[in-house]
Amino acid sequence: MPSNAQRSEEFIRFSPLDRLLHMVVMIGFTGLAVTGLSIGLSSTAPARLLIALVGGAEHAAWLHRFFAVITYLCVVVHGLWFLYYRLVLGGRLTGPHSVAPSLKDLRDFRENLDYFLGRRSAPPEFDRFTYMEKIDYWAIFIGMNTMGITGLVLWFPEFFTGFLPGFFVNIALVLHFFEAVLAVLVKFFLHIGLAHFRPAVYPADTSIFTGRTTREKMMEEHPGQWRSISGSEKPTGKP
Amino acid sequence: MESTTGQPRLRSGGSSRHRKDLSLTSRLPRAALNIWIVLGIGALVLWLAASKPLPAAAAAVPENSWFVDMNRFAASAHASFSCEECHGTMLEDGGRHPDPQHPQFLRQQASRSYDYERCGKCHRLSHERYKKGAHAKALEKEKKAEQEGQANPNPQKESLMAPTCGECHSSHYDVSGRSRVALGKRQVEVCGSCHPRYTESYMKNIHGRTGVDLGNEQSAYCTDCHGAHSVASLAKGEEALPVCLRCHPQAGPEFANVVIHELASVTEPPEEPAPKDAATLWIQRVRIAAIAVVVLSLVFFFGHSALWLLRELHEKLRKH
Repeated sequence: MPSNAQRSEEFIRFSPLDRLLHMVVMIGFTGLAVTGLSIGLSSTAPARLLIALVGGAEHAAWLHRFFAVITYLCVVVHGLWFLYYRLVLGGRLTGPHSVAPSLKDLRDFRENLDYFLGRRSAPPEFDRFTYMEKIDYWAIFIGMNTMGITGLVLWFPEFFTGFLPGFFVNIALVLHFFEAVLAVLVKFFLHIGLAHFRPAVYPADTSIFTGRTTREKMMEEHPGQWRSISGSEKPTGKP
Repeated sequence: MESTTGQPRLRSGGSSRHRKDLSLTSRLPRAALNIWIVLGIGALVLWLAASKPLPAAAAAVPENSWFVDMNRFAASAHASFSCEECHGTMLEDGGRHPDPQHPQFLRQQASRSYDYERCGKCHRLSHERYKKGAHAKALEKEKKAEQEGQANPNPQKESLMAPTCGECHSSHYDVSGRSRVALGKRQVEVCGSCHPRYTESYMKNIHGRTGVDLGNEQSAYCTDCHGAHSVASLAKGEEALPVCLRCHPQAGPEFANVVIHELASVTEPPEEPAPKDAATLWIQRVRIAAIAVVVLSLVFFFGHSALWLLRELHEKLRKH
């Protein structure tokens, strides 16, 4: 970081735990996508190349399960943090500073569409998290649980057919594959594209890695939050 | 509404945009980022690049010519044999040469005129298993029908369809010492020449994907479940379970009802009922629903983002 006298005032947008979890999920998700799609699209040349690089389908399956475990551990740690935050620290899990969905998100969505179509001159006043950021977050949070369930059925089919019909294993594979395709297309193209390559933020938005954001970005992208904290205390790290 | 109070703030935010852009670019070297983007697009192109199609299921497997390529024969497993060891001498057949004027001369399939009982001289166990298996029984049935003078129901096809040794093995050209994976890939071709629906569905299953596509020799190939010479259909769960147990020792009875060959189709009614049709139809319904959800979600998310991008571009261009 260059020490800049003109450097604008910085705010903490993501806590160290958030940044760490994002980093591990980023690595785990990419690993899951690469190894999983190589098996799911096994008839394609790139898939064969990747499987050859990791030393065969057995190794790819092992890596896939390794990435699955570290990624799901993030869900567990995140959940434990929320419990601690709520029960021990007595924090709030809802409200404008949280990722909890609210009615304002629906209104923001409608107003944002109006803005896209030129019926408004400015986007709505987003709070700490826009509705797209909330969808991004909840898609991953819910998706990791559903992928975890179907993935466990595929990992231990002998156990699950002990009390489920045999073709549920096939259905688990169908759901696992198509949810993976959806997740990869949305995360690799839209999440990365919107978070970093939009004209307004290009070439990159580093706040999820450094945790910091600037006054200008706050005013521009989260004016609702900016208004509620400006003049008062800095936003704290958590919801 | 909030929009009226929000606008002036946003305008003031917009004026500081250029300053913000500069500070971000100086922090992250643009060249490094561009390389990253180029690499990403390159990886994507590679990913979507030419995908190799399934192994041709209908490849002509046994080489049924009456002529033998002695160069290839010399590399085969039987290369050390003289012709007479398998074919006898001309004297054995009463010393008669086949009539070159006969309409069927050299037209009949070579593999259909050979007496494969002779293979059993060396390959006794395989031959015995074959004789007890479903292929030999089907051949018996076809021969019986032919003797009783029944008309061939399908004139396009040979009257005898059930395979003997030569339909699956090439006695002149098959080499010995092939790897498990090579044999597995060959099985998909050989078995698929008569059972294409079964090899197609196998290639969509995890066993076919990992075993044939990805060359994982721990995966099950055709004969690992159905047997090479004994040829078991495994249509019933109680027949299949002992086979599953060879690789999945923890499996219970319901494990055998996992669908390996998805034969039924919701779009076209099946020619003949296959086992597990009801389960297969449910799997396909779930697949269709899953595809619909994926497509609708993508239309929503990508449409939303495309509008967003266009609007932001418009804002940038308008200010220039």
